[in-house]
Amino acid sequence: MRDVLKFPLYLITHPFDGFYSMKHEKMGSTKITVLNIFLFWLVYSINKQYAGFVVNEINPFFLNSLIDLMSIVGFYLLWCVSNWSVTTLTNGEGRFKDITMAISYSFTPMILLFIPATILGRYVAQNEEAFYAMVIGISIVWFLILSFVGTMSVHNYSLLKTIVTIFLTFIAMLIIIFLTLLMFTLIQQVYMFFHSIYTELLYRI
Amino acid sequence: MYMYNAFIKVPDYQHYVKEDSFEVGTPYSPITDTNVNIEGMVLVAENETLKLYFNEETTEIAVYDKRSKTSYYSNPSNRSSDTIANPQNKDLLASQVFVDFYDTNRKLSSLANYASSIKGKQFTLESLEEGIRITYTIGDLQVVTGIMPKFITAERLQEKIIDKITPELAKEVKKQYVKSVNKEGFLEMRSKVIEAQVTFNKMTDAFTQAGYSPEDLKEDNIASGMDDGSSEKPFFVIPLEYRLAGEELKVSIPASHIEESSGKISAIDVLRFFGAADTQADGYMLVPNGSGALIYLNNGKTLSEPYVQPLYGLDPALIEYTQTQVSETARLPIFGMKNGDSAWFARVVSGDALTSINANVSGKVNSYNFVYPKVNIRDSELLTMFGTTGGESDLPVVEPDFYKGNIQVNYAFLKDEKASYSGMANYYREKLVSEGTLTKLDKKEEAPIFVDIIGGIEKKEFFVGVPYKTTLAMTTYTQANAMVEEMKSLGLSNINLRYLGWFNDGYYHDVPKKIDAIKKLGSKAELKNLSSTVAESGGTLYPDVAFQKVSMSSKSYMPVFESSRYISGISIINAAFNRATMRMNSKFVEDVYYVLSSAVLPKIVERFMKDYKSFELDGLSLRDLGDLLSSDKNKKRTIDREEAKSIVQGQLESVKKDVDTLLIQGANQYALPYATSIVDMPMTANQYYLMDEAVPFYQMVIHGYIDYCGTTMNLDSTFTESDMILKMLEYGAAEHVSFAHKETFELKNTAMEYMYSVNYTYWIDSATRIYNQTKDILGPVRNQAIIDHSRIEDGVFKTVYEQGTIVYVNYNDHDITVEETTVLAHNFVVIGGKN
Repeated sequence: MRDVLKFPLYLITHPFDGFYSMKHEKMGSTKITVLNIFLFWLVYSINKQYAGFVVNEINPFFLNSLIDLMSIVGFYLLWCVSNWSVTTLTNGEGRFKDITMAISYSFTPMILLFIPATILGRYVAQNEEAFYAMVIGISIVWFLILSFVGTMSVHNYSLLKTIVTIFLTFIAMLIIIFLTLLMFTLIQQVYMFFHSIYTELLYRI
Repeated sequence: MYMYNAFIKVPDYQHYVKEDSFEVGTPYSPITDTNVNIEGMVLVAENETLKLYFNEETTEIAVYDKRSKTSYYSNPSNRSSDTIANPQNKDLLASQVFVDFYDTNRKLSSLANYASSIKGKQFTLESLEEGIRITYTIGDLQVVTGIMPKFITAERLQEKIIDKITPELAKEVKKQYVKSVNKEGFLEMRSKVIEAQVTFNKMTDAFTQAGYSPEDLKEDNIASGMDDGSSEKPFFVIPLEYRLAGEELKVSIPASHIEESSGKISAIDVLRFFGAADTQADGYMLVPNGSGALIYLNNGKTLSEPYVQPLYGLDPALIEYTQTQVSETARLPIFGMKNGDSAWFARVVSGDALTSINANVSGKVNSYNFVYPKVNIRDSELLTMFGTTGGESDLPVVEPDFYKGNIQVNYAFLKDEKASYSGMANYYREKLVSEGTLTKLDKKEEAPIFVDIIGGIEKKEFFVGVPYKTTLAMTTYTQANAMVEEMKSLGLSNINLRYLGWFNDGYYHDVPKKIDAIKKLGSKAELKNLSSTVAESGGTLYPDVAFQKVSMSSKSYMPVFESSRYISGISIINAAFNRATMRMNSKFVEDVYYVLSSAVLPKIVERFMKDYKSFELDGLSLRDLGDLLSSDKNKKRTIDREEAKSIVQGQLESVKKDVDTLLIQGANQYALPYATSIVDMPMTANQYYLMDEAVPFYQMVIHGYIDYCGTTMNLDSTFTESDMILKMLEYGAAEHVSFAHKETFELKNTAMEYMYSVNYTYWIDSATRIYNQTKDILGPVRNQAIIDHSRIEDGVFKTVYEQGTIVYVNYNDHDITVEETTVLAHNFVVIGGKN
């Protein structure tokens, strides 16, 4: 149990070894995957609500942490599904479970650094804003590197192939979004069509 | 079953709507006139004060006032010498009835009864008990081809015409009918026939000789497809009645007897040019904008828009999303004109909820100043269609039925010292008193003060970042009680406390089907205690309720069953206007509201009153019942504004039965019989370019009969203590102030955030000073009418009360001496009375 909890910390400092053990030595855990997503939502919402006004441009009156949760889970799944669709076509070795796990474990640096950054954000003055930005920036860059390495290890890709796959994943995401919107618009148009037939029948005749 | 009772079931509301009677006329016969006062006209009715004259040719009428020996004409008698009006406008000047209608293509056009009825002698006359009825058939009944068909078959022409007339004529007729290009098998009349009068007459003669009947014409037209009903020009049958009743001329149109052919009437103008004043005239027109406004005759403002204002505010069912101006509501159904030393004053007695008052000055389309009512008997709206663009996409939808009640305007005539807006106000007040609308206030000679207490208000709070709604208690009952105690110790008496937001979650409360008092504000006992403390000061506690505006945040409301609807069938949703964007929108859902259907209103009021009785309070404040009037275009139960008015009056009546004293916000004329006090009464008029002066007409009518005050002073953006005192003294109005116990920043991010300056501790000193300076003047005259008001010069006004108290106010920055009295700058002088 202890190892399972400590593993994410090992992984973020030794990404190549970590992701290898995660997949091949069954060190990764589904519970930690879900917990990580939940924790990330928590620190993200805390940051939005409690970071000092110097570094926070969000109007707290329009905050809703439930919407944050939905968008985080939404984008997370969108990425995983897109990545999975692309990598199955390009001989990726990762299963869907591996992909979700890799991304979720990559959140760890942000989970660790957002809380200190939020506390820091309440004390910095305007010209010290860079320190806050640096902490947030480091956590994000760290996350990006981890998810990159994660994708590479999980699918057993070369560097170049990973870059191409990630590019294709973005395209797949756009296609999914596009198709969803298209479907909604079409349904709406069909509805409007019948509705206007109804109103015309009602008022023009 | 519960759902059905709670939301869907509509109790009978029809019994609130009165039926208008229709007098059966007798054959027209003028009265012999022993003493002819008006040349060229015949006498049709006479009583002790008035004589009604009628012109049989032009259907003009004239009223002769025996007391002052003055005549008033329905149309300007010197209109032929008008140098501005063109021939079309001269025809309009001779008209009494104007019809706006939708033709078969739903385009709005209009007809006036001189050109379209009187010229062609298309009217019939009947005598009535005290007057005359003229039934006009307005419309072009002439067909272009006269009695002849445009298309006819060769066989029919031979059989019906040629065989029956002389060979010479037959030759002529044959020559004028040629083979039709468009309709195969038909002969078509040459267009030359219509153009040349000689040929047209010759042809008409031929057809008459042949005995060609209208039935034959119809048969031919049907055969050729000309008579499909759509080519028919629209015409309307409109009865117009004039009656003398005491010292008034009653002009009415029984709308139940209006007939229409293919067109659909939208509005009718009644006597547009009654008493119209020419360019030589000196005087003013009175229009009901806000507290009342004057438009000087011949003021030369020919470039400004005419004055048009619907009575009792805009109908929420017709209100537009974008609005470019914010108007003071016209709350009294009156208008009038002073011309030299005589004046006439009109009040819309029936159909007032559908009426808008219009006025215009000379020099635009003709040389006359005129003010008149326009009655909207049918509404329409533009429905945007999907799939088309441009003008095509906006489909005008016209209501199938129109208002079937009576339209009635009463004109009264005033002379000499009574010929002024003060005279009109005095006359109107006497009428309202004799009709029982107004009753004199009790003898208590203490100036009232109106205090709004901000109680509970809905506010968005957050729980771990998830928003939810809660009630913010700005002032609890105990805190309000402490305020009243302190106010009493500071010398304030007759405190009328309006408590805003006390049940169903707060100010923007849930639909009042039941009362859930807000627990955060205190217990029922504390509310009772507050009520008795207020009563000790001589005033009343008025808890506030809104019946018609139902906030969008309302939980136990089902708009599908309970809301008024647009013609297109959608529930009405309105919101406060944002003056920056000129749009109806609000960032707070509480501030966006549905309008409760008048059909459901009796049910809601009954349920509310059932709960309210258990509180055993003797006051109730009605936020919108006397203010908002909405039609419901729901197809299954269409309710026009006039019916809505009757229903609202019925509710006021039933509320009044259970609660002694009612405080009504805004208050249109129909709510006056039920009001003990009125708050937010208009204290000025809009500064429209066409208008020249604001007058306290409304105040003059009701002072001494109903306590009233303007909008709350601490939200007035131009507030100064001295000017507030002057305004109160000039208008006879009581002080009105809003208080809250908590600091006002707490109201931020609630729909009430516009109330940014209502904290009690900051305002109590100012409120006390104003009260103490005015109480000795306004107290003694509390139950006296204002009998005269006049402007001495710019910024200096004189108000005279019934028993002789005279108040001079001076808004100027310098001292002024009037009538041997010096009035200091921003100060006042009181003569007579107890001072």
